[in-house]
Amino acid sequence: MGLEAISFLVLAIITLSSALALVLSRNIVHSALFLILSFVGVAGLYLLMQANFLAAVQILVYGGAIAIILVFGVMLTQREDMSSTNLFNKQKGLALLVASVLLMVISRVIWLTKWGSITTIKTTVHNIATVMLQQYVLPFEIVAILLLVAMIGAIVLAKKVEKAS
Amino acid sequence: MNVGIFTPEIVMVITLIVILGVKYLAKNQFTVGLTAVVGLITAGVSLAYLTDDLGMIWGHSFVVDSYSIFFKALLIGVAVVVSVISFKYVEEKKIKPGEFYSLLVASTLGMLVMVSSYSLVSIYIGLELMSISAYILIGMLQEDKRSTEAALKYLLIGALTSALLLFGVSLLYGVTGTTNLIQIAEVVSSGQGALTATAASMTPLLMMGVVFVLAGFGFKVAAVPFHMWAPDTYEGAPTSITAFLITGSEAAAFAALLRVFNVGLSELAETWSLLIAILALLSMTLGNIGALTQTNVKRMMAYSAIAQAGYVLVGVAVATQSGIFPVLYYLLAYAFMTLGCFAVIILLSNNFDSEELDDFRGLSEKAPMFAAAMTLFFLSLVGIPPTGGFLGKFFIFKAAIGSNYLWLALAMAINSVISLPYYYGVVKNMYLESPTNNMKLTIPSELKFVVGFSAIAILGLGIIPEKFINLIQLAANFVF
Amino acid sequence: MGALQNLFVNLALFFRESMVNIGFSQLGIEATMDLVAGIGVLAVIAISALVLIYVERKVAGFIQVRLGPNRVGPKGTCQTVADALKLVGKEDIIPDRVDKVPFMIAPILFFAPAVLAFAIIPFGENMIPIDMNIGIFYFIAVCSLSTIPIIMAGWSSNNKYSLLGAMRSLAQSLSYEIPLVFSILGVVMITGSLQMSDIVAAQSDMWFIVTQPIAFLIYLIAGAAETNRPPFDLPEGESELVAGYMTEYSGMRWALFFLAEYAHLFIVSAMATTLFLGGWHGPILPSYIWFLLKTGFMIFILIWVRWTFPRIRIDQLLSLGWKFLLPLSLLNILITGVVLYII
Repeated sequence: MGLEAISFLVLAIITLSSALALVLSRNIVHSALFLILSFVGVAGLYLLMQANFLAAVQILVYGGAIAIILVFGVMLTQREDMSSTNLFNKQKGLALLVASVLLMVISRVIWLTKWGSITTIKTTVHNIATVMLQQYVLPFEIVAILLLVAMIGAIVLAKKVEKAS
Repeated sequence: MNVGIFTPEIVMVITLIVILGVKYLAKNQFTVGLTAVVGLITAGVSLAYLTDDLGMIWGHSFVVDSYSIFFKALLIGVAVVVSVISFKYVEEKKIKPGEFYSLLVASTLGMLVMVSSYSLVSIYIGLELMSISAYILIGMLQEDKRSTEAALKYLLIGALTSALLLFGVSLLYGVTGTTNLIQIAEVVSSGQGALTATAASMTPLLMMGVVFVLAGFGFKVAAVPFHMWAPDTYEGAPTSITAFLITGSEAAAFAALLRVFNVGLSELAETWSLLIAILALLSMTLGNIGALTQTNVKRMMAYSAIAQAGYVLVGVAVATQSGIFPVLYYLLAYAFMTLGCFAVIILLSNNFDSEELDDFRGLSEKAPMFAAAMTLFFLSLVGIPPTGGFLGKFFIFKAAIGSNYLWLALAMAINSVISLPYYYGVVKNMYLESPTNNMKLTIPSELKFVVGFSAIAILGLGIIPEKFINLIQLAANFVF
Repeated sequence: MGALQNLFVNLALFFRESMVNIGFSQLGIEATMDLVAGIGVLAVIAISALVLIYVERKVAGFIQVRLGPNRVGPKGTCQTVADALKLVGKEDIIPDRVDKVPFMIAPILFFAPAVLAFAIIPFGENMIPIDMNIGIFYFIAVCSLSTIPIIMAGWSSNNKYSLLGAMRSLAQSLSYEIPLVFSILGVVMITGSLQMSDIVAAQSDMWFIVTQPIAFLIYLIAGAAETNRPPFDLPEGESELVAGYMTEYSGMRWALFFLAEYAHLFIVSAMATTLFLGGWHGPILPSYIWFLLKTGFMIFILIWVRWTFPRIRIDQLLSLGWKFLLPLSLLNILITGVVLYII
């Protein structure tokens, strides 16, 4: 097994186990922390595929965004009883069934496929810039409006409701 | 490059921003709504100046063809009507007008991007713009807990939907190496994928991508089994937004669905056609059965919308050119009848502050024209001549029989019968029951206009269809 | 002079050659060199922190017209060493009701980004530990990771002052990260590259402080805020929050926070040098000396600011960030873009 395969295995285990821990943890702040770990694992996978720009974006965006999720987790919980802040319902069995069926289907598909190989590109920054600002410039601009909308929405929903007189 | 082809979109972006400014300058809320309507109508008028083959730019991520112009006209029309019927409602419910109308315009903009794209990336981004604006719009009745619940449900399900859709898109991209629908079709038929070694090994991955994309769109059109959010969301949302979601959001999702499946994945039609047929059957049946026991009219309309999505899916399942035309015809008729219904519901909601079945008691005495129009819309929803709804259903029916989906056609007929009782319940309340109170209705003139216009359009689509058929057939002819 | 100029580069080459002579494998050599570089970085952090704390206290003494440390060693130079030894010797107290695992690993995680950021600092000509093609972007990404350990520390301490401090810290870093990144963008636009060596090379004729003066000021303010230094030290303001997110920490874990803050101070100054002050460019003296001189000057300015300005209020902090620095940095990008387009 080469160095690359070992790194992949380690990163995959980190990503998946922390994702699992995120779902199973009963403490919502712990869940959020596992989420970060999982995303950092994904960033590692990007690095393994030579996509270092994407890896940095992953860390930057999720590092910043998840801090906010963490704060929500903290603000929405009553601190006296942290052990049951991440709620569960009684459908664990069903969820397990659905998840394992999906897992089996996906594994089967991966198994059936004869995979080819692709070449990796060394510098991704310029390519990403070119593609984003030429071929995909329309979605790029729409995203700008999307962010404006998200901003309006955050303000509308967070603003105090004027009491009807 | 011709920037002119973006005129409607650019006009809408400007409208969106102007509304936010007008909000601070205007003395009354009416001005804000009027700004939105004027902006939308300008965008709609500019559509007339777009001609068919103005071309595709940026690797097909934006396309102007008659199909997209048809849908843009439909969606902008829906947005105009929704803004108009919201005038009074926004004031009554103390919704913040500036944000309300600008988000409405933003959501419509997302739909426009969706319907005029041959690229999975811009379809997805358009879908997100449409949905994110909708999440906020649904939750704008901030004092009403049901509205907040509705928004939260729609947000959570919407996030799941996006994940599914994106996963499907990523699979398609992974296999074919492109997000462009036309190139995807080429790769699928030639079998020269980007990742896989042989053509045959492409199929399982592609199929999985198809299933996930279908599930993603299924959530958006509220097809069973992806419907569980719909009743709660449609009931809790502001009434005009419910109308907007049922007509606009659904039409846009269907437009994109048709494009993705008929252009990009037409080679795999045999498999996805059956999947969609099953969805159609489930949606029709469960939607209609669910509607039978509802006492809240908005909730009833929500189940009815699920059933109607089922009818439209029959047309999609036909999977040939002959299926596209009926879908467009039905969506057009459906937009008119739903908007008409909701205009009446809003009238009652403005006066009684609720949307229960009992509010309809004795409507024929208080507002005879509205009661008559409501009956007409219901006739059209059931599919009884001489309405547009009948012809739409008839075309779908014919297409289904024409491509060996006899069992689906049969299910459609049976479902039309199942749907009769709940529509009849409302009509009975309007005509046969005496009013619960003697409150006089105040009827704003814009509602009169919308209801009248919708009624005429429904009759027009039913009685003189020739005028529309040619136009719509032109629009349906988008596959090359 | 030539020998001095390339002292460290030649040293590394010498190491490499001798290892080849001994008969190491290629992988072994790379691993050893990485290990040496890592130890070097840790040494730089530790030594710079020791020196910086002493300098800071001396400068503070000078500004406040008092002597500062003057007992241990000549002129008090060994004071920080004595302090560090005391900290190492202290008991590692973990309070009873804290959330143990996050509490214990938070200081380590806080220290990690500081070490990682050293990987791309060009200490001198050909002296960048790793000259990656996304250099400056890597720096931004790594620095954004330092907010999460602060929340971990603040939340797991189970103490209201800690939590308040952490929340303030988050609000502060989120608000100031955007102007910080935007100010760097101006430099990136002129250079057309994210690579650190390209950015330094682009300044061989003219320092970017001349072409990007607004960006430099924004960077300086936002940088000071990012490092939680006064006048932006609300997360740990002694008079209101005891010590903010560090309240429950003691001994070596507290020292790690402290060490990381000085490492951040060094990094912010080093990046200011690299981005705006021409990096290691300079006449006569060896490149790394120039780099250290400029960085030292930047550190002195930050210390000077710390001891002469009062702490600002949280609302002032946020409105400064969002209403002033952010529009200004956007304006700077616009102007830069227009000028670049014209030229």
